Amino acid sequence: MAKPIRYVMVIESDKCVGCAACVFACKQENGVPEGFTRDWIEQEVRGVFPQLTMENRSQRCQHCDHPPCVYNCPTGASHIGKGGVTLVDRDWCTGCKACIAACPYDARYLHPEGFVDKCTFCNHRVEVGLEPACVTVCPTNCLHFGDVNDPNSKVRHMVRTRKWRTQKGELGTKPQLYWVESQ
Amino acid sequence: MNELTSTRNNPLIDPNLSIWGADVALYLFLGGLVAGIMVLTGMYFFLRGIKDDTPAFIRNAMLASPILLSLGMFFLFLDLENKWNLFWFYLSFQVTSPMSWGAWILIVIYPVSIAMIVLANRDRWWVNWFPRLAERVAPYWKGIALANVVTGALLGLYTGILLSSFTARPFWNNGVLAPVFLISGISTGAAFMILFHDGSDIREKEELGLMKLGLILSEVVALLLFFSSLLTSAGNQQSSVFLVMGGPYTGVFWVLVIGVGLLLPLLLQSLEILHRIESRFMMPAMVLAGGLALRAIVVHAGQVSQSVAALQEVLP
Repeated sequence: MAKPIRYVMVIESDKCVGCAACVFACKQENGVPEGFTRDWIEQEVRGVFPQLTMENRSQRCQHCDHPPCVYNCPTGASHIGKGGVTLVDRDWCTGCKACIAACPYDARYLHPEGFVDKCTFCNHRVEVGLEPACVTVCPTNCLHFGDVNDPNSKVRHMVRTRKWRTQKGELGTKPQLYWVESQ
Repeated sequence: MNELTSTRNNPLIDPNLSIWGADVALYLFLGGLVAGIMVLTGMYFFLRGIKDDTPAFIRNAMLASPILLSLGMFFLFLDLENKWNLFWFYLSFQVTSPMSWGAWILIVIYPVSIAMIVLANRDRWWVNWFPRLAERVAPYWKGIALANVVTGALLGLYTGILLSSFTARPFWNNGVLAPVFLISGISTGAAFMILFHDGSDIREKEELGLMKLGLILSEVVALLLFFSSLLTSAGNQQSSVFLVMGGPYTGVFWVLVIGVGLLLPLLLQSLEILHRIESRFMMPAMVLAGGLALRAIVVHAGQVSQSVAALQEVLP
């Protein structure tokens, strides 16, 4: 029997130039209020001048397999949706903020209208066969989205053939953003 | 050397998490206080039975528990961002969410604590307003007393379990936090009840003093275990201790929690037991202040503790 759909994102951070097109695309697509963000760019510089290395990372919710935000939600508003994606049902959210405290990636924020909001992997686009907005606009093609359980998917191939790392896996969250080096 | 810059700047999240403030700290304090009153009075009546010579200070102090709990729940209500959705707490039960357990525990507390109040005050006019109420409840006194101990302990423990379940926040992520909160809650509950004692009965006063001394000492032990547990855990938990040992909360923690909340009451109580001094309100007031300070510091320090670990990772 085929495994259920499991959406993941594979990110080639060494191809990322930190242009933040993904951030703007997300804001536009999802109507994220001004001053808030669902995805963001982290830039890490290591070393001492002139021996420096730099990594740009397009960060967002990790859509964990063991999401602490969902486990800590007292009403079930935070839930795991189709494809393993972590979602918030706005009508059930009391704004208690337990999920914000629970998220090790600080990927959630309090929407000015009183509910907690976060990256949805653009589930409204994915449902109609499109890719998330951030993935479609990335000019260097460093973001890859798909079903890791689909034997023919690009992300499955990348996760199977390349070295990857995840972030804060030691916290037991089983994060589903895979960071790989480009070939 | 590492330098990390981020474009994320979400209010209440960056640069440090600051989602929970004074209202949550006040709720934790009042919840612990009520838990303490319930555990102590429940144990008292369970062991001793409901007798007519119950000291007046116990009967008076326990009246406060549903009132203080309601006040605490009001502070909690203030913290909710989407207040109209409050009812969802009571249309669901989430087994993995300590906050969901807490919502239901709070509802159970009311009938349990009010039944105990009715039994202990059955000769008072406002109980006799309701015909035969005390008589109907009386046969179940043992169960009610036990239920007060159990639900009180659950109330005192769950807040600590709630905070300690957040793996994301190293300072909270420690199983000893729940017993620390429970013992501190029982300690503040005892202090609150002693405020109602008029000091006329010397024997009673000495018994109370010994109990208080025991509670303060157990809180010292619980805090020692809390810190030794953090200091022997993963790296991010070790570095989170910096917050109260050298970091921004050091002064307020050592002065208010350790000094005013534990050491001074310990000294005053010891002197009082040795009949060197007479202190009626000072010692309980200090314990209450220390309990409130402990909640406030734990709530604040826990929220910034992830950044401490990140900061120390980045530093050479």
